[in-house]
Amino acid sequence: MNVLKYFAERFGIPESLFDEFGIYAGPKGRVYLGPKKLPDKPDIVSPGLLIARAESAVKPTTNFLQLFGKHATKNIISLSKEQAVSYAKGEDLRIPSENEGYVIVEYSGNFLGCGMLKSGILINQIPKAKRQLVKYI
Amino acid sequence: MPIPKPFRERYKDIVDDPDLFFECIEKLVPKSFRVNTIKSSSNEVKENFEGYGINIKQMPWYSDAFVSDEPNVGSVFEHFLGKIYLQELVSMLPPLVIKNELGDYVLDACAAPGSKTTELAAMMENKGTLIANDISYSRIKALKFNLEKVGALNTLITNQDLRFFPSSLFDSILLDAPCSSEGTVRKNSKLFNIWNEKQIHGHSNLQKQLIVKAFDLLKPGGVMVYSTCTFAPEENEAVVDHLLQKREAKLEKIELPNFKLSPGLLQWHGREYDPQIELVSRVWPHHNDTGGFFLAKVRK
Repeated sequence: MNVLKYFAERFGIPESLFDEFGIYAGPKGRVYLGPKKLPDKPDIVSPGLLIARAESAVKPTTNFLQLFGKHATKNIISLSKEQAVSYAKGEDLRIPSENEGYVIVEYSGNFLGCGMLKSGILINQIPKAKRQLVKYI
Repeated sequence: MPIPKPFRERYKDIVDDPDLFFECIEKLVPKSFRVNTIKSSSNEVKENFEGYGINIKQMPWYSDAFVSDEPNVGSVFEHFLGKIYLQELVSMLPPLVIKNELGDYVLDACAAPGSKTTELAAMMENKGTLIANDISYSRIKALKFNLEKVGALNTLITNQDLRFFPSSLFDSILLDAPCSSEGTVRKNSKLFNIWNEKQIHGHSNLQKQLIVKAFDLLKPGGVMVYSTCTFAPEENEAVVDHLLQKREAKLEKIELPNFKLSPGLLQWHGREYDPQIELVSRVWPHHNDTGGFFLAKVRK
C-alpha cells in the first residue's frame, strides 16, 4: 500500500510535499518519512518520523497529522474548545457524522492528531504517552 | 540535603563569588521552555501565552528561549501540540553556539533523551541529516518519543557505543557527555545524596575516550561542541586538555551576546593545562540564574 497515495486520497495532502524526503519501511508495517538518502552505516534504529502503520489498513500517526494536517483538505473533524480538551486527555467524543474511518482532529487551526470515526463516535487515537490534561487553551 | 563539605571545598576557590554560588544552587531553577520552530514561532507562542494570562520572559540571548511564571507550563495546549519543548536554559546552549555552522551532516553523539537533538533538528530546519546516537537502548525510547513529538524528519536514530562508531565524516558534532551532573542540582536536590568525588574520576576517563573518538569523526574544518552539566574540572578542562595533547585540535572562543560566560581554568589540583584552555566556557548558576554548565568549541 502506497501511504502517500492514501494520504492524498483520504485527506487531500499533496504527494508532492514529500518529494524531498525518503519513505522507509520498518517492522510490523511501520512507515517512516526521513532524509532522501540514508548513510550505509551504522545501523539505523529509526529512519525519521513514523508516519503510519500499514498492515491490512493504513493508520496515520498523530505525530504525522500534527505536522502535515495543515495541508489537508478533507476528512477533518473540527472540535469546540471543550471537546479539544477532552480529546487531548484521551476521551472519545460523540460526533454526529455519517463519515467513517480515520480523520484529522482539529481545533482552531491546531491539529491535535488522528481520530477514528465509527457510528457517530470519534474514537480517540492519541497515544497514551502523549495524552495530557490541558489547562490553558 | 545540605551542600556537602567536600563540594564546597572543591569549588570555593574557583568561583568568583562563593557565597552567591552556594546560595544560588540551593534554589530551584526557573521553569523554562524552548519554542519548537518546526511547528511554531516565538511570536505565536508569546501571543498565546498572553491570552492565557501567563507571564513569560523571552531570553535576550536566544529568542526561542523563555522562562515562565507558571510552574505547570506543561499543561498548555502548545505543549500537547509539540509547539514548545520543556528544557533547561543551559541545555539549549550547545546547539546554540554552533547554530550557524552546523552543515548538512550532523552527529549528536550522546543524544538521549533528545532535548538538544530536537533543538538541532529545528535549527537545521528539518533538512540535511542528523544522526542521534545513544549507547543505551532503553533511553532510545524517550529519544524517539521526543523527536517524533517535535516532528523531526531529518533525524536518524542509532544505538552505538560511540567508541566503536564506524568511521564517518561529520560537518559538526555535539558531544554532550555523560557526567556527574553537579550543575543540575537546582532541579534535582537529591543529587548531593549520591554525589562523591570518586564518580568524577570514572566519568573523566570515559569522557577522554569519547572526545578523541568524536574528534576523529569530524571532517577537516568541521566543528564540535563538547559540553557537560558539571563543575568538575576533571570532566571539563582536563578532558579538553587531553584532546589537545592527543590531536591537532584548535579551540575557539564562544560568543554568546547577553549571556555571561566565564573562561576555563588553566590549572586544577596542581595540574597545568594547555594555554588554549582559557577559550572554553564555564556557566556558573548565579551569573544567569540557570543550572551549571561547561562548553568547549573545537575546530578540526
